[in-house]
Amino acid sequence: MQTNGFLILPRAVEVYQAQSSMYNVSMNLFTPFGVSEFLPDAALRHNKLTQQIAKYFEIAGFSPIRTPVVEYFDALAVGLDPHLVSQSIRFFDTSGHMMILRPDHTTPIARMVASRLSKTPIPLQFYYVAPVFRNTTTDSPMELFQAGVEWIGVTGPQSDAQLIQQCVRLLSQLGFTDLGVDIGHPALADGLSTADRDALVHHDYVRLGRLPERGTIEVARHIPELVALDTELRALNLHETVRYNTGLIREFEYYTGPHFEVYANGIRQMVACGGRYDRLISKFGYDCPAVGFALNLSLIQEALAQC
Amino acid sequence: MLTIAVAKGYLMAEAVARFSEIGIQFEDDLTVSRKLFTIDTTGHYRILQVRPWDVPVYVARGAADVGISGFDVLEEKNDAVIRLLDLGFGGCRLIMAGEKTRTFTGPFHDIRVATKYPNATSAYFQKIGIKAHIIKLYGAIELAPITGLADVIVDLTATGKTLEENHLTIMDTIFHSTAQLITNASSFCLKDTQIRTLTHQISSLR
Repeated sequence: MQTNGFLILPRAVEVYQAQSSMYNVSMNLFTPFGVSEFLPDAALRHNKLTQQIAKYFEIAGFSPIRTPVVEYFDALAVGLDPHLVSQSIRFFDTSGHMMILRPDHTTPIARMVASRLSKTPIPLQFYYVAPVFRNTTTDSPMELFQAGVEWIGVTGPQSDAQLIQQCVRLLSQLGFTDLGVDIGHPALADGLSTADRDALVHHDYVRLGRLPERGTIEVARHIPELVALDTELRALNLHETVRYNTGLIREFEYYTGPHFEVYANGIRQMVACGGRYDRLISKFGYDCPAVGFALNLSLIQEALAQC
Repeated sequence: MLTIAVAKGYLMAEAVARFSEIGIQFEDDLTVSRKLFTIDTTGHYRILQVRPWDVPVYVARGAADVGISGFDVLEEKNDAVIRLLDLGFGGCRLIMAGEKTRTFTGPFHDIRVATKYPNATSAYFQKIGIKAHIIKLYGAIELAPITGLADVIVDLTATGKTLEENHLTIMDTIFHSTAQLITNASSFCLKDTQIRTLTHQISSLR
């Protein structure tokens, strides 16, 4: 089918024209679809939430990092996931360079680490609370607020488990206790036919012919990294919170090890996701393993406002 | 409680019959009542009667945990839903049709096509390599070729009776469609057991 950009843009124009004629507005006072405009009440709530999250990350030992809002497309494209490229907002500067609004934080942080911090002793622990920019869809705004961490230079199941623990702790501190955490692994796709893989990526279990298994570590016994992770999660008393999902397959494999998605009761979409990405920083010239997660702050703020 | 969104009309009647077979009885018969929702006798299920095109919207945005929607609607709208099961009922097909009296050797470039399904139509003409001008209509598509608004139509048909009565003939079938059981990622994670049980119960009926 078509990309969302193709479907949404004509509609945005249509709605704008309809609004202008309906209210007889001659000046264009409308904002583009999907940008945030916080009136004082919402701005205050937003500030409190971001401060609470920043404080949590700092206590946990993470340092703030800020990536540029605008970058050269060529520089970032080296490590950018193809699906993020297709969702990204790009334009030309006055000298004809293609520019990009950052569509995520992990990729520019990987670029910064490889280009500026490759001599700094690892591990490095960074956090950010800032928006990313993507083409508006019916499910996601153009300006999407995210909060997350990157933990660079760590390997092994212990760091994978601690990452999940940090994410779950932060969400429960924000008031989300009824959580579902699904864990996947790129090795789950090994041996699948192209057709089955495609059906899983598109969540089409009719085409797959069955529902993918989801449950305790028993469903993923054949993946040693997940078995090791489960032992660590058990030690952190998190094994009851997580489920291994054999259907968690992504179209473009950005993760190289265990990865997870978090859902919260009453929130319609994924509230957080993260995992191990050992080959991203090396795309920018510095071979260094890493894990990280990001929270969808726009969704969380929307859910908290409804409470 | 599990909230189920079902398309008003034929799919609702078929769905209620399936639910009844697996022991889920709803308090009100939505096919005759003017109520838009009803709860089952155990209080575990709530069924919503919505417009066919709105089913995936309710499900994708989490207002309903599961839904029963036609394959045609899912293909056309491309909402973020998980497809669980082909239900087998509500069978129909998306076809291209033209006037009987007008003899086509096949679709031609710059053909004008009237349809309620612009995305599926555009994908179809893209696939067969024909440049088409799509005219989006909201109903009574069969009038378009008769009045000269379009050369052909792309529409859903179950029996072909409406096409026949309006002197149209089927030129090609784009896809076959039946009802599917769908859910969203959040519900499928948090209400996993309930949704899986429901899916298995319905699939074991056939």
